[in-house]
Formats: sequence, structure tokens, C-alpha cells
Amino acid sequence: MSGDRLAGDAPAGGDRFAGDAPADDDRLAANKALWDELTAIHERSAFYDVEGFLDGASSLTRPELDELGPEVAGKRLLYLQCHFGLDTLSFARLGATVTGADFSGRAITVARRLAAESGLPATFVESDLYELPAVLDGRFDIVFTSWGVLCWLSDLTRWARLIADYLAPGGIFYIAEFHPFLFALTDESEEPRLGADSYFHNAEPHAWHNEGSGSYAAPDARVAAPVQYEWDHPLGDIVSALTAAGLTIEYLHEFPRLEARQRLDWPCIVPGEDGSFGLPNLPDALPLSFSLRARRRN
Amino acid sequence: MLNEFLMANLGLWNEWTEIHETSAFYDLEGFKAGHSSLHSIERDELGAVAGKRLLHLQCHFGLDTLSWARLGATVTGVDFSERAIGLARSLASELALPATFVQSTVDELESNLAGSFDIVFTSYGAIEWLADLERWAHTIAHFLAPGGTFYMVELHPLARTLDDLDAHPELRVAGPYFPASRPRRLRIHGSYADPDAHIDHDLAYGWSHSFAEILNALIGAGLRLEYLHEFPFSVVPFSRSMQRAADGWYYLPGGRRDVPFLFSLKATRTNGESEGRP
Repeated sequence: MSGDRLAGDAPAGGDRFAGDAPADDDRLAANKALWDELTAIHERSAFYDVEGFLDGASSLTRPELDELGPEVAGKRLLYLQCHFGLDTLSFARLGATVTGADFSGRAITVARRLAAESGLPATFVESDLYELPAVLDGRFDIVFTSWGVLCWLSDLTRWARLIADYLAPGGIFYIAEFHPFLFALTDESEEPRLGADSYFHNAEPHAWHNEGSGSYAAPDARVAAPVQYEWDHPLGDIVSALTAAGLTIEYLHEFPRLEARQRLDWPCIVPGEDGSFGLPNLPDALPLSFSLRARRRN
Repeated sequence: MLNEFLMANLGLWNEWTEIHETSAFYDLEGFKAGHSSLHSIERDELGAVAGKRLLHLQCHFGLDTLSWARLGATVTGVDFSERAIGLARSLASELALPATFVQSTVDELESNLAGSFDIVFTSYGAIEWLADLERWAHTIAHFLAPGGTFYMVELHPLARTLDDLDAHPELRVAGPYFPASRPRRLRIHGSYADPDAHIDHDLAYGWSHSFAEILNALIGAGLRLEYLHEFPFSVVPFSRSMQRAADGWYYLPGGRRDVPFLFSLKATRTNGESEGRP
């Protein structure tokens, strides 16, 4: 799963941690250090194109722009795992009253600066996801999260409960993400094959050791953070965590291609003429991304 | 009226019924002696069925339907194969188990059956024979009493994208995953219950169904999804190299558990209460 977050060279040693497992706090600290570092790289990257954003370009992509964009005006929107806030601020431009939360202090600092520079009203909160209720009150009409977020979470049951608690009655949760089936593919072959030991959830995360790897947004950058921890979450766990938290699923959409923005450097996933990514010669073989909408019952 | 695809499939399922009746896989003698044909997933997840009105869609020749009857459910089984329904009725009669069996396609069931049910059940290799899941979901909702439960346990759509595992043990994805308007043409060799059986009706048609299609069809028919569970083993071997373990399920060589082969899903027909829409 080398391309999951850090594109470029495959990190060596993707096994689940053997031996003395690090404490949860140490894993969180390792991931936070990674994302602080990635923020500094991404802020200057062509991929995130901060200049373009400040000139008015939206960082949102399909499907969220089509499926959620038209209804956010006037709504209170909470963005979980917002990185340095471009998407959050893009929703603000569409008229939402936005709050973004991320565990990286550097990401939140950049997000606040971009809000000030762009003159967009927004609240940004630095917090580990599960600790968010300690620092953020309020109810929201929309809770949103997207693209490469779930693999950083150890516990979807707590995640879904937190979403339900932040939603006003009748409020909606929306997620656009890489499809869990994608992570069931090995990253070693030009033809898609299952068997990456990365579909079902395991309490022990993958420990990916970065040896000169780049970032998905800047493949030539060199990331110094030595290790990152990621958890698998199958589709059933995502759906069932949300329903158990009291949300009603309104739809699941699955897409056979990834937008150019959702680049993955795996040998079996290649760009097409329009810049989007897919499995060559197998246009309908597998879903690579999904969106899901759910509503909190009254 | 059956179209050409369903006519071909009906020929196959009539022939399969005859083969399955005497197969070790279905173990009719064991069933008559009191064994349940149900598996642990559906028994554990559907729980107590005693006193419940249960409708079993695509019931083949009724072993599961009659197993639910032995657990105290008031059962109705439906299948499009007249030979399967004939065998199911004779088994019910021989074993003195109360059961109603109806010969009908799912699509035409509303014309062939009256009543409402606490549970609608379907399992293992059923929906691949259906072209239209919206119609299927509306049929389920039609027959469910308010507050009633729909439960299914099925072959996992991801496992169904795998290329022939005997020829390609490297778990190659071939697809298709997404639904298409035209069915897939299937060349049938033997039966899943008896791979070496001779088959005259060796041409059949199947439809692929994605998770999105399945879930959205049920939601669109007014059901509320309760859970989606996935399992790293199968009820039938996807290849000759899959081995049956002591727990009765088939596993990939080496016992690896990183590919989902089955899923189960539970949904409830809501009582028409507000689902939160303003």
C-alpha cells in the first residue's frame, strides 16, 4: 500500500508491527509528526496550488462538489480531518458556515492564515479526532470528511458516534473516500490482484517505514518522518458503524475511476486521457472510490 | 412470461434440482434425519424465528425454508423452478413440516402470493440470477409487515470479480463489478454442488450487482439498513484449491483470511415514521 499516502518509492517493511507494539499515543505522535511535515511540503506544492486557491479556485472535486456542493449555503458544516483547510474554505466560499478540525498543529496554523488571507470566515480547531468534544461544542447541519482520512483512524465505532453527536437532528453526514476494495489490491503488479492483507480491520495497524519516500502531492519531496501507522476499514465496518450510531444511510455511490486529484501511484492504476485514474482495460472491474450520505434521525 | 435469459436459467435450475436431490453437498438423508441445512451466519444473525412469518425468496428445493420451519417459523418458500417447488412440497409432506411453497419468479410474486411477513430471507447465490434489483427490493418491501426484517447472506461482490481461481490462483481481478444492462453469458460445467455432474443445460445468464446497487435498491424501496457484515470465507469453493475447514466454511489455500467471500445484510421496513427529513 505504498501509494496510500506516500507516493514514490515503496516504503520498506509494510508488515503489521511485530514485537513490542508502540502505545497508541506513540502512534498518534508519529502520524502527527508526519502530517506536520507533509503540511510544510503540501503548502508549497503544485498539487495543492495555494496560489490558485487564493485566486478563487475551489479545491473540491467530484463527487462531493456535485453531490453536496449545491446544498451547503447557509448550513453549519464541520469538516473532520481537514488538513490545512483548502476544502473547508472552499465550502465557505459556497456559503457554508465552516469549522475545520485536524490533529496537525501546523496544518491548523496554515488553515487560519489562509482564512485570514482570503478573507473567508472559518473556525479551525487543532485536536486529535477522538478528543474533539473536549475542545469543540456545537451542533452542525453537515459533517463532512474526504479522501484519505479513514486509514488514520483506529476506531470507527467512536468516529461514528462522534459524528452522530455533532449532527443536529435531521443533519447529514457525507464522505467521499478511496474505496476499501482498492486497499485489498496488492501494489506489486500491473494487473489488479487481491491479497494485500489490507481489507479487513485489524486492531494492530500497518507500520509503514518511510525510506526516502515522497508525498502523494509531491513525489520528489523527501519525507523525514520515519514511520506511519494505518488501519484498514472494510466497507461493511464503515456502513455498520454509522448505522449503529443512529444514522440512516441515504445512499452509497461507487465509482470506477479516481479524479486526477486523488492520485495513487500504483502500477495497476494508470491515468487516462482526461487525467483521471483507473484500471487499464478493465473499466468496470472494480470501484476505486465511493461516496456515502447518511442522516441523523430526529 | 419468461424472457430468453430466464428460460435458459430455468432449464438449468430444473436440471440442477435433479442433480442436487441426490448430491452429498445437499445431504438429503441427513436433512431428513433432522440436520439443519442452515449455516452459522444466518442462524446466529437472524436469531429467534419461532412464531414469525418468514418468506424465503429463491428457495431452490426448500431445505433452508424447512430448516426455518423446524425452528418454529411459519414459512413460505418461493422459487421459479417447478421441479424445485415440486421436490420442496414432497419433502414438507414426507417430513410433516408445515410450509407453503409457491412457484414464481421474484418479479411476478406480487401476482402469485398474498400476505405479509415478519421476515423476508434470501441467501447464497440468489441475486446473481436477477436482472432488476429495484423490482426485487420493491417486492421485498411489499411483503414485509411494518417493522419487519429483511435479511440476506450472499456471495461478496468483490470475490465475484475474481478471475477463475483454478486458472489464476494469484487472485486476479477480472470483473465486472458494476451492473450492466445485459447479463453475462455463463458456460456451466457441472454444478457448485457436484462439479463432475453432466449438464445438458450448459448455458445460463447471470447479472453482476454492486454493493451500491444492492444498498440503494433496498433504501429506495423504503428499507432502513441496519448492518453490512463481511466474511473471509465462502459457503462454496470458488476453486478446487479452496479447502473446507472444521468450521464448515471454505478458505483460500493456507487459510488466509484477507479476501471477503461472503456478506450479510439486515434492513428494516420502517413504520413510516419520519426519517429526519425536514
